[in-house]
Amino acid sequence: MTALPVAALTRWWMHFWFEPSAASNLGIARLLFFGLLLLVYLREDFSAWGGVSPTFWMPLWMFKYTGITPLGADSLAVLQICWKVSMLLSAVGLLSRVSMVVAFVSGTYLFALPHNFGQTFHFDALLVIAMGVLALSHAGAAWSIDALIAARRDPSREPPHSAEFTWPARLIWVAMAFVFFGAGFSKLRHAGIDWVLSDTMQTFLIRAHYGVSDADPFVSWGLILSQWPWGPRVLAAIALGTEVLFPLALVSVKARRVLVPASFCMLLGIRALMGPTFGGFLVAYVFWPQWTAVGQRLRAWIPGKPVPTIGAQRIAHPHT
Amino acid sequence: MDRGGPPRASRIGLALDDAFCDNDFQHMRPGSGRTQMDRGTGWKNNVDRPVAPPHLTRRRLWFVHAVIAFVVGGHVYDVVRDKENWPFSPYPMFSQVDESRIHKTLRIFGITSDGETPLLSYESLHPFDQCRLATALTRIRDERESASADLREAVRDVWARYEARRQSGAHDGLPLLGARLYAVQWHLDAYARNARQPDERVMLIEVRSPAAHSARGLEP
Repeated sequence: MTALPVAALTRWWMHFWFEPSAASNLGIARLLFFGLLLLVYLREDFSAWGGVSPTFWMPLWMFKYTGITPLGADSLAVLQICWKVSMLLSAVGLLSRVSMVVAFVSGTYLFALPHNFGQTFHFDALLVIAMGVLALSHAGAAWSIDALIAARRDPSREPPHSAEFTWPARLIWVAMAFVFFGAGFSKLRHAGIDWVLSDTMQTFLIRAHYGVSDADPFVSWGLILSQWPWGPRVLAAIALGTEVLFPLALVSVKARRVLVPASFCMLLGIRALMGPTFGGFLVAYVFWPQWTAVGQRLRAWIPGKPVPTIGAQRIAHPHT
Repeated sequence: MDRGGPPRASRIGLALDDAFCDNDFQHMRPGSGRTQMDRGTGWKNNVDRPVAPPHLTRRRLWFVHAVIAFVVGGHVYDVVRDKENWPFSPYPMFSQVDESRIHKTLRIFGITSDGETPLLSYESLHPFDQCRLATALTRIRDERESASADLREAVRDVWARYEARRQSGAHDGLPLLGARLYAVQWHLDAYARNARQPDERVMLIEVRSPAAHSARGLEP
């Protein structure tokens, strides 16, 4: 290391969060995030929570300390329409800033509301954070109707590379890293290595077929796997390793290539073998790929198309 | 079609490289015809590299740092304290050692004209699902002094909504004359062959329609 640790850390911090980047990547991620979220929740009806008996009411801290109560079914029906419309507008990038703020505020209330009725699920917490981060970002600067309108007014106008298009995705990465690391750390804290070496995973795989989750497993392979002598333990070790090591994906490209797809597959595996649904959680993975690079790579594969130089439009940088 | 590039497997690998690396620091590797990320968020790549100006005003930079501090701080607080403050959480699900071969839960059964049917599907419990409902009922039973009355109200609420949704065509379940809450227990079978039939069950609450109440002399 050629610099003092503090100075090196500061430089790394500034690079990680504030490295100027193109608007396209965040714009595509915004389009995919809100578009897919809308598809996932399009048929979800939150209004029924307005008619649930108050005997089930066990408020979250934000409801308890602010005195927020459940809206009636009719009000919830209106609110969820507002939320879905705002997600559509956020996806296509029309009135982006306003629509993303509306999506965040209304979405937070709608996501939080069911958790006041007996159990807090965790699959939508990251989505609330992601919506909040996007609401404070300039994610509508590219791949949006707003950008098309701006370009029509001034064709020479193109958003310059900026940190504004870097930090939002990075913050969502960090939040996702906390989700996985938190889950792994909880296992080590409460169970230690016994979580892997005991019959815990075998028990989970079997019990999943007794209607304990919000949905039933897709397949019964978990029961077969549970009977292999070391099958459940290997599965537990892989899951725990993926969770605890996930923060490495933030600082290592090699780790990212392994851990991000591995965690995605792990969630699919949990859904298939054990039942828990993850709602729109998987949608948050759209912030990991570099979409502009993916697009250029795909175009390079199309016969007859010239292979573009990725990064040709990058800003001048002393070391690149 | 041979395009003179790397083989297909390598292309997939390169696509992964591109997908998870940092686009703005990719460059053409001389002579390879491939793109490869050489910088990015990695520690080694960034500690010695000068910082490019972020193009943010000082005020905006502070604001973004405040947002980062809030999100990171919220997570760190919950993970360290092992406390739940949604949307932050220590994510404690499935974190205990659990080798018990006995599974206990609370479950609502609907009373039909010729017996009982368990209410398990999302359609019959909407907006609850079987997991949230069982947890809510357990918390009411274990945490409240007025558990008996509250459980009765809870079961009545589930039954009333089931019937209202059935009559509106939201599901095609059987008409219910009432509902019962059972504490149920299974001895786990390796292949879950007894999943549909609890080994033991104890009725905690029964609610019935007014007509049935009068006919059977039960309290409404």
